[in-house]
Amino acid sequence: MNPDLRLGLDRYVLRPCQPDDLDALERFGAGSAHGLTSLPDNRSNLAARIERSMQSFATTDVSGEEVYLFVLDDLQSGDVVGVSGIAAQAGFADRFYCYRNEFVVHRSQALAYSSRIHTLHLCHDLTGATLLTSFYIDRAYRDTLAPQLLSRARLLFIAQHPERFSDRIAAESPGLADDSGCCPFWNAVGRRFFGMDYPAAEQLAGGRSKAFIAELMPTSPIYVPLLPGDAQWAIGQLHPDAELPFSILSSEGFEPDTYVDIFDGGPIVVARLAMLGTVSNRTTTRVHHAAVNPSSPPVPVMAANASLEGFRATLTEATASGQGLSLSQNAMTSLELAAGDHACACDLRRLTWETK
Amino acid sequence: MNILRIRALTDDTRFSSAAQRTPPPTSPATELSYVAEVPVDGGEWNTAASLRLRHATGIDAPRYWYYVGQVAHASQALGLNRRDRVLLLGSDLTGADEIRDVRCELPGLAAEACTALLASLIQGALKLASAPGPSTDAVRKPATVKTITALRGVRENGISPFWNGLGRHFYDHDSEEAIAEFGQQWQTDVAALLPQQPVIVSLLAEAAQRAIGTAAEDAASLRESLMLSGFRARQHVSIHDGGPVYEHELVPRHDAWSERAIDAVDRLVHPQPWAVMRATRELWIIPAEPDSDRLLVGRDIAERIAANRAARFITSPISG
Repeated sequence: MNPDLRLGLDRYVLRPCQPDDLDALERFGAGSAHGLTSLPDNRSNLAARIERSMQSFATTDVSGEEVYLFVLDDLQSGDVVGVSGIAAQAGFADRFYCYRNEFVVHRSQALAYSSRIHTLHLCHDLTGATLLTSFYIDRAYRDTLAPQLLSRARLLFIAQHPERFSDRIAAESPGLADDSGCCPFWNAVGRRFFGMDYPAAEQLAGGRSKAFIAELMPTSPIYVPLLPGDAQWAIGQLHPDAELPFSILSSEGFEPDTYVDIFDGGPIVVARLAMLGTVSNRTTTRVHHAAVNPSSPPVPVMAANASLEGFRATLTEATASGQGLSLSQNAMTSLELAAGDHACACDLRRLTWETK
Repeated sequence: MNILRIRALTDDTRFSSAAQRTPPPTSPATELSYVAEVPVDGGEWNTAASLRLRHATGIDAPRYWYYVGQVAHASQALGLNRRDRVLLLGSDLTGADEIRDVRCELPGLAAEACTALLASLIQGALKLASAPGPSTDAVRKPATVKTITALRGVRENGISPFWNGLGRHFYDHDSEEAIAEFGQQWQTDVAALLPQQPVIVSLLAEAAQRAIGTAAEDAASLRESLMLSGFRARQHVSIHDGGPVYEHELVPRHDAWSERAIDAVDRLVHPQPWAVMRATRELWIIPAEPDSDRLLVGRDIAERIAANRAARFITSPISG
């Protein structure tokens, strides 16, 4: 069922994260389940993350090391209600490890028997892909259009600055875990090699990249049928809190079946940028102030400016005209656009929606 | 009388079993049965133990075992130093001779006596197989030096925890039933279904891990007799129950056998077990001691093997 696309138009604006957003980020970090957002859990680390993001937006010397953080403003309440991020290159300066699902069919003609065996292969396939990260939306906004803008507008940003990103986009989703951070997949796999709970292993790694731990894992494939039932079940399963961001990415066209996280077994979705709904349906054009009596009815759009540090995206209404796209004065203000500027927009009615 | 006769049986129907619907994939020339016999009254011999020796196993139908290897991963920074066993499916032991179906056929024999008997049979069979003369051509080529035998792995409530924890996930049947149905050929056929990549042992169920390379309790006598015969468990286990594979390396020695006449004496000073043969395909294991180019034996034994001053025997100390 499609959401009412007119509820929430001209209400939310996505923008680069600023030092003032530290309180909000700290609140989000505390509100999320263990390890869920990939946001650091202390204030000084968060401040460093914001600083790094601002440098990423500002730099013209692109290396792939950039990590961009966005926040979502609710113009009605004046609150920051969500955060999302992009890491330009997964495993930058190291390797990005994940398990690749493979199936091998064993067959014995003499015994008239064949079996399809699920295996997990430790791989670096996604090293260098662009990663969507750090998604968190205030719980009160889960059922609004806000999380849609918060997640999908990142794709408009990537599409407008392709030289900064890979054309292969991936996103990790947290896997099944209990409140203390223990997960059945880790218990069956990682724990066997490290003899400790995942949170303990993370702590031991001391903030180093997960590759540090991954390098200690056995390189031979894991035969899934040999794992305990609960661990098998956990492969590719989502943490309940991850269902919303995952469903948005699924709607965009991300593919969830190939890769899983080596620690909790959560799905890692991947896609080619150009194949994603927001990207393939976007148009880039000049913008104008809307006429008082437009000749055609306005349509709901996700629109964004072409700026880097001044990036803005919002959900609004627009009218296509011969000269480009006509936007309301409020929308022009939110997007910090002047008549004649370039912007890109995507007709919301052409996107796929999955809502509860 | 302390004498054993070891014979290779050419026409062997002793082991054909109704359960083996598929005939074993071996020609008679590549597999022989050996029996150990004890003397009874009237110059007759009674079978006390038996085994089968297959020449060059895996040559005609591939055989598979798991190699039990090890991977180490360590991180000084994490204070982590772990070693994990891995199982690798392979045919490493192809070409070795294989001893199977070792049985003690004297009911009620004490474990210690059984161990000694089986050790004598195994040593005698290996001696016979490596003895000089035309009789050995069909039995063992001179270059073959390795002999293996797999001990039965552990069972818990009649079920192999090793198979249960590993093989069953790839072939969802009971391994014992499958062997009963398909015969030894099953061991060849099932390998296509088993993991072709290394299996990390620590991912298996605990009971399966414990079963790797552990022999069943009822294989204790055989295990002991193999040890006495110079066999040692190395890195291989059976694919169906994880039982250890014992290996024996025979270094061929040209001087292992010598032709001797036998003298009967009243008392031996330092008797050692010797293999003594005159006919092809059979030898005696007797206490004897060498005296320059002759072999001294007890009078009763000399009589039993019809030794006289003129007869020449091919002889070799069992330990040589």
